Amino acid sequence: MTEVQDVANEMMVQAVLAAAEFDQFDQDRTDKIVEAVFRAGFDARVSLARMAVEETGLGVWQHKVLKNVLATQFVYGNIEHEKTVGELSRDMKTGIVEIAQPMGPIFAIIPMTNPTSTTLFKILICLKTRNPIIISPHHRAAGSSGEAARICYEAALAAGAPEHCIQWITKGSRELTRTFMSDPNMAMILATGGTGLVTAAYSSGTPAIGVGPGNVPVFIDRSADFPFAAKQILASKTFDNGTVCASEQAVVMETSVEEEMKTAFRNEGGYFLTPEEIKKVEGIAINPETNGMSADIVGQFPAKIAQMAGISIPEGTTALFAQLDTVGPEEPLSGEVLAPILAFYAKDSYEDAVKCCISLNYRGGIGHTASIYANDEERIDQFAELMNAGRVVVNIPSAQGAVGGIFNSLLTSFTLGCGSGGKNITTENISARHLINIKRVCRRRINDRWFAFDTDKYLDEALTVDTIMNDYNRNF
Amino acid sequence: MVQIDYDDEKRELHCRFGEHMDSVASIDVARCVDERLNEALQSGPGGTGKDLQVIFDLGKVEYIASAFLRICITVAKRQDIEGFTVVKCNPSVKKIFSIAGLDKVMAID
Repeated sequence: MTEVQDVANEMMVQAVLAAAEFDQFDQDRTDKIVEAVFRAGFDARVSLARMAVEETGLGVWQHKVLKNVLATQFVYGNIEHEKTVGELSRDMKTGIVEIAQPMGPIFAIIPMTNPTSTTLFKILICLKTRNPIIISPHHRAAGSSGEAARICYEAALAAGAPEHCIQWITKGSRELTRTFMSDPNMAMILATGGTGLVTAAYSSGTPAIGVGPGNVPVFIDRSADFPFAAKQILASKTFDNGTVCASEQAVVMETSVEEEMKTAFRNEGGYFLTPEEIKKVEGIAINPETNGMSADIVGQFPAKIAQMAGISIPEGTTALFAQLDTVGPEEPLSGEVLAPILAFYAKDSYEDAVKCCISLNYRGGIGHTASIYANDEERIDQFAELMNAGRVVVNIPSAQGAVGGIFNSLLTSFTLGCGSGGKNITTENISARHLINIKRVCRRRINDRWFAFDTDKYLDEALTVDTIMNDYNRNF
Repeated sequence: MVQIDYDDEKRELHCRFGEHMDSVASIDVARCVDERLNEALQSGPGGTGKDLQVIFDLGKVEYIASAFLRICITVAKRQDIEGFTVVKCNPSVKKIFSIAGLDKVMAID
């Protein structure tokens, strides 16, 4: 056995034993642990946020505090009273009783962009469902993710949780990640990360819940409140310097409202790049080898991005706008960029604007999120119908909106499913409910129609579907 | 927490555990089992445990922590005894051994 296999094996043995012990816990005992972890995680929200920014060099520490608040206070609020142990429902009419079973050890991949909040979130939902968790931090955020895990583990143990219910990798590698993912005792992978990692998770042979990339288009309808829209959009795009996958990537509108929106964005600190400046920003924002965003600009302030690009921008600029004509590889900034850079499109008609949004949606963001600012219900419904997105947020900052809980009633989550478009299993905001195996006990409740029907008739080829259905459904 | 009896004729070390084998109880139990096991080994022919059977009687056990499972693993892995068996598990406890995958590596009745 190699050293990597030794490490993985040892941790998996501990996780499996923890799963066996956890299986015996009732709801009260489980909830006591979850509450303790929530409290400990919440109390550490500021120190963890500072640590995350210091370690990764990206984001805004005050915003990371809010992410930690979402991951603890809001997630706990969602799951606190949720029944996740034992009998979930009993319907003696249908004869079906539903019982919750834990899944087993869960491998939780943590992204660099949300190293502490995603850790806190996944630990809470795993413990709530009695599943031991192994945290796999991003190599650039191993310290802060590990610290978040340690704080939670100490609190969990003090509250009576099984030993090793929370473990975390301190020295990761691709080989170690692959070994864990394909371990036969691993019950589930929660894969929040880049496309490559999510694909690896799905290919591992272990059940996986993954996420997809976002390329969120924002359509600003003529019926929108423009200053309001500009304020909300920039509050979202600048949140943690654009590191939330659900943050806006492009704003689209009709030319009739273009100048008003430009004024509104400028009033909120937006700076419109010249064509030459766009080229310079492309040069540092996009990795020419992958044609995707460069890791170097993720979560950076506009001033830093400008410095990297060799351009001057006004002091106090909150976001950079790049006005583009088309969507596609020929316009690199029309793709996802997790930084305060927004593509800006003004189209001659409503139909052209919505088609542009569709193009953006399908350029690397299928299944994720779309956004609209409008006070026209018909337009909102039309837009929602046309977008391939797990979330369509209306008059809401997209980053905070998609995560859920502040501006809407979506379940607060740091793992946003993108459905088949994103090669995921669901479009839902992942929460505790997704980490339970539900056992259904079915008592005998016979189907009267079936037993009253002469089933030999199915063997008579001459009988049509209508004849059989009439006979099957007859009242007698 | 544990009652340990040694039958010199049959060369059996019979350990009967209490109802609640949590982490705290498991610490004391581990020490007791280890001490009595070593005594039984020394009293064997040539001071070895070649014919020594260790039996864990879980007839009264209602709850087991992972720490107790580790005790079972530790004993099961010993090369210096003849055999190790877990007996009289109730169905809930048997299930815990199955979840832990231990029913594949030790005899469980």
